[in-house]
Amino acid sequence: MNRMLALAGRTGKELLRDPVTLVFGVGLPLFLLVLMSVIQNNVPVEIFAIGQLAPGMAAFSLSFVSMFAAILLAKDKSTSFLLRVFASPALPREYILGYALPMLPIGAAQCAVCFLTAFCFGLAPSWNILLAMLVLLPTAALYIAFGLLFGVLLTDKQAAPINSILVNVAALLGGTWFDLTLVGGTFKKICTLLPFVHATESARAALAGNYAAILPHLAWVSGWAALLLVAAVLLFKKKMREN
Amino acid sequence: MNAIETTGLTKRFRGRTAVDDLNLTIAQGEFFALLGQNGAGKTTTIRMLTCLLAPSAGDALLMGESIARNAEAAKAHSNLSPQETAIAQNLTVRENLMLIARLYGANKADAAGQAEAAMREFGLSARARDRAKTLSGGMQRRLSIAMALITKPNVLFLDEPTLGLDVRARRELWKTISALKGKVTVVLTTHYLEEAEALADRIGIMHEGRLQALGTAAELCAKANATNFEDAFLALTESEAETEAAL
Repeated sequence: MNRMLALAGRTGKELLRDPVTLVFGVGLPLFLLVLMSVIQNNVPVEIFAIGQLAPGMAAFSLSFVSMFAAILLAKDKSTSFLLRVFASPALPREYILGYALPMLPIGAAQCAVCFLTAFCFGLAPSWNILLAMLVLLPTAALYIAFGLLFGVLLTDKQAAPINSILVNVAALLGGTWFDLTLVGGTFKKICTLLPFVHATESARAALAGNYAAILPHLAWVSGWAALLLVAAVLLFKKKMREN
Repeated sequence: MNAIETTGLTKRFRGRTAVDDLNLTIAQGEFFALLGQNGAGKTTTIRMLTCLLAPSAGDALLMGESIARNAEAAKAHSNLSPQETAIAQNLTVRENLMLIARLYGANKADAAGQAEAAMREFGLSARARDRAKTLSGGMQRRLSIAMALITKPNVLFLDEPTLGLDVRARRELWKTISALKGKVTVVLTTHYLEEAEALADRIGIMHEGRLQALGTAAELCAKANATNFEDAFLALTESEAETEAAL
């Protein structure tokens, strides 16, 4: 436990002291939220109504968690810091949790900033905001798993560009920017198989108080998150044996 | 009890044998250097001894603990300063040291005390609050070695500790490393022959995965019938193909 906490503390400090975390993790989603809300004030579009946009943006902002995890892990590989951790008596579960757990409060803070900013654009304070943040936990786990996977598989030079693709995919296929039914067909079918749109819809349902609609979306995101987490842990352990 | 005893230690990677039947004993407190060209098997040997790689055959006892059967206990006896600097860039010098101490089981208060002692010993106290990434290359290596020593290991593995440093930084690090002699068992891998010759009690020369020669620098010179250590090293690591080509 002490070893896991030590590693988790280190992960948190590395992230919070890196300006990239602030710029991409909070700055970019906030900028987009403000921009879309201004557009909405001038030319009303249903999908950019604050009740739709804010939860979508909160879900989207979590995709940056994947980038933070992947870049940190890939850097630790290239500098051999990970080798030092592997050579210590720390157990695999301790260092995997040491990387993963600090991402959760960072993700929660990102969501909180999105919803707090949304108050300025007319979002009414409600307990459903807390529920939406809770519902986004599996989404955070999903992106942490993506980050661990990419961090283990990619080099430090590959981690950022490949993760940018994930962030863009999450943005385009997440249903935050446009209604997926407008494209329809195979595109929509693919989108509904992937977890991104379900992450957005679960948060929207929670915020709207449409409780019955939360569970199917949540189950889909949780299934993906569990699958990817198992894959990430197995690959992490394999990487350890290969060193 | 010896610090390290390997018996038939072997590592194969998809048909290629990186380390072949290594039998080696290193006494406690000994400063042992492992030399060899690129791909000779030095780093693979270190990685097996630090339990980062499982052997394909054979075993090694580290302070009596088997690396194959009781890796966790073996790990607790050793520490490693890897080839690269291997520090947490955004943590301060103190935080880096405390992190490693805690990874080896120290609580927060003990880790803080150990970090202060390590910073005094390695001349890092003035930079205690500075982030590791702001240190010079030589200071980062010194921090890396301090991180390996903060846990008071019985066996310290130094994998190419002076690689990439300029002459002055290398000489300064030599002083730091030579101060460890007799205090802890050191296994050093290096490309710098003069480093091994100046620091090590005994030198093992690896070639194509095998331990080609073992002894003091003087013994190795005598064995190769060479007047200096560089000639001895070249003679002892000359492959059969090179010898045939020369003939």
